[in-house]
Amino acid sequence: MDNEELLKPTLSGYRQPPALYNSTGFFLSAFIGGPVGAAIYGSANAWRLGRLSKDLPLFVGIAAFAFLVILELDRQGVLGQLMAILGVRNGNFGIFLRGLGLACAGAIYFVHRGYFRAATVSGVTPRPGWVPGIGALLAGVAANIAFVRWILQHH
Amino acid sequence: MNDQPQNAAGFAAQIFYFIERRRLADARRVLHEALALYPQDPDLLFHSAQVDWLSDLNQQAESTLRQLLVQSPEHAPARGLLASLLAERKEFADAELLLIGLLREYPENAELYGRYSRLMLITLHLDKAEQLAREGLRYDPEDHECLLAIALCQTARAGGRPNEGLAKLLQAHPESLSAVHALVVALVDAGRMDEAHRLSQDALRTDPANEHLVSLVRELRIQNHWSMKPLWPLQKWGWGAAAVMWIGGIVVLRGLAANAPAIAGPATWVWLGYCIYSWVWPSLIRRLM
Repeated sequence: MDNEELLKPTLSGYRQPPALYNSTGFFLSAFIGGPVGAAIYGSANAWRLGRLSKDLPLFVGIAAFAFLVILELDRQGVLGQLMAILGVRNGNFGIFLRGLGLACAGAIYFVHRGYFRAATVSGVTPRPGWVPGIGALLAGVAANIAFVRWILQHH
Repeated sequence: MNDQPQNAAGFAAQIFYFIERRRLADARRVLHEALALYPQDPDLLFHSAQVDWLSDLNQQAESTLRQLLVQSPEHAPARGLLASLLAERKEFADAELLLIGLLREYPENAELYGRYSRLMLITLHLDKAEQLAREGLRYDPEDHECLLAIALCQTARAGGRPNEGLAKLLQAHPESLSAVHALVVALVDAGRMDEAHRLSQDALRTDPANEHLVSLVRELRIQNHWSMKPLWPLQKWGWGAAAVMWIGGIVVLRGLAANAPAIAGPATWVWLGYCIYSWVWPSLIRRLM
């Protein structure tokens, strides 16, 4: 980046100052709302960072991939074996959806890592995450229920 | 510094002397006298805004600066201070435009690059913040603002790994509070709460009136309290540790329930107790201490 490029305004393009929503909300959305919850909360962060159009396809892909992983594990019978080892009732996908939700949150965090780290060292107070959190949670739980019903019907 | 100055510049020098030593009441007294004699003097108006800013009277400071910039639109220190005020009010885009304007006029001023870099850092633009700080260091390798900015950028990138930017800042300005601040940030980031607490306590002894340090020491005292020690994995690895705690806990407890039911019950209570403790105690201790 040359000096002229360096002195080009960066912040004029934002409708509101770039910020991140509270990390607790991110964790809970991913833990309870699964992959869809993580993707929605991550998208809310991407919107506040002014990069939603860039990140949305990636986050949709991450959530879809998580569901595909469960489908594939189920198809190959690995899920059934894991359920037997863990003593989980057959068809109870909760723990896998939670685990994959947190894995999705980890992947989304990795995409936004620079922003999270900059916020940590500069002591920026995160925005309260109630609104995106509740949205992510409701949509995530609904998606999880729909997915489990669908998978049980096609079992 | 008690002689009566003969002109506006003399008054300005006296006021600056008091501001530098944070003797704001004295600065205000001399300002009152000086502005009665020279009400339009740009430097006196600037110092008046500076004193208001340091006294947290941001609105008054801003109105004085805008009055000053109407009559002297090129006054660089006033534009710089207005940028700080706007950034504090979260009007980052306007603050950025002011800093860019100043940098175009003073393209070799390292301090301005450092300030712009800090603005980029608080608006979460880590890459540009680092490039600006590096550019500033080309003009002055020991500039305090740039060294602080690069130290924070490298802390953000390095995590607990060795941090060259921080080492340079501490070598060049070992006495500065900003260097201490950057070091404390790096130590907290690496989960070294005990050292961060001791360092910030030492800094507070040298500047007991610094409100930022007071709240930092209080927070670190809480983080370092004996009752917080069981939570050290969560302090050190943050949400990663929380994810492992929840998923790992559920998996282990399920496994125990299936294979060793005798210890599954007590283990579940211990795990649940720890989870509740990690949620409740940090906010409770903040109210108690």
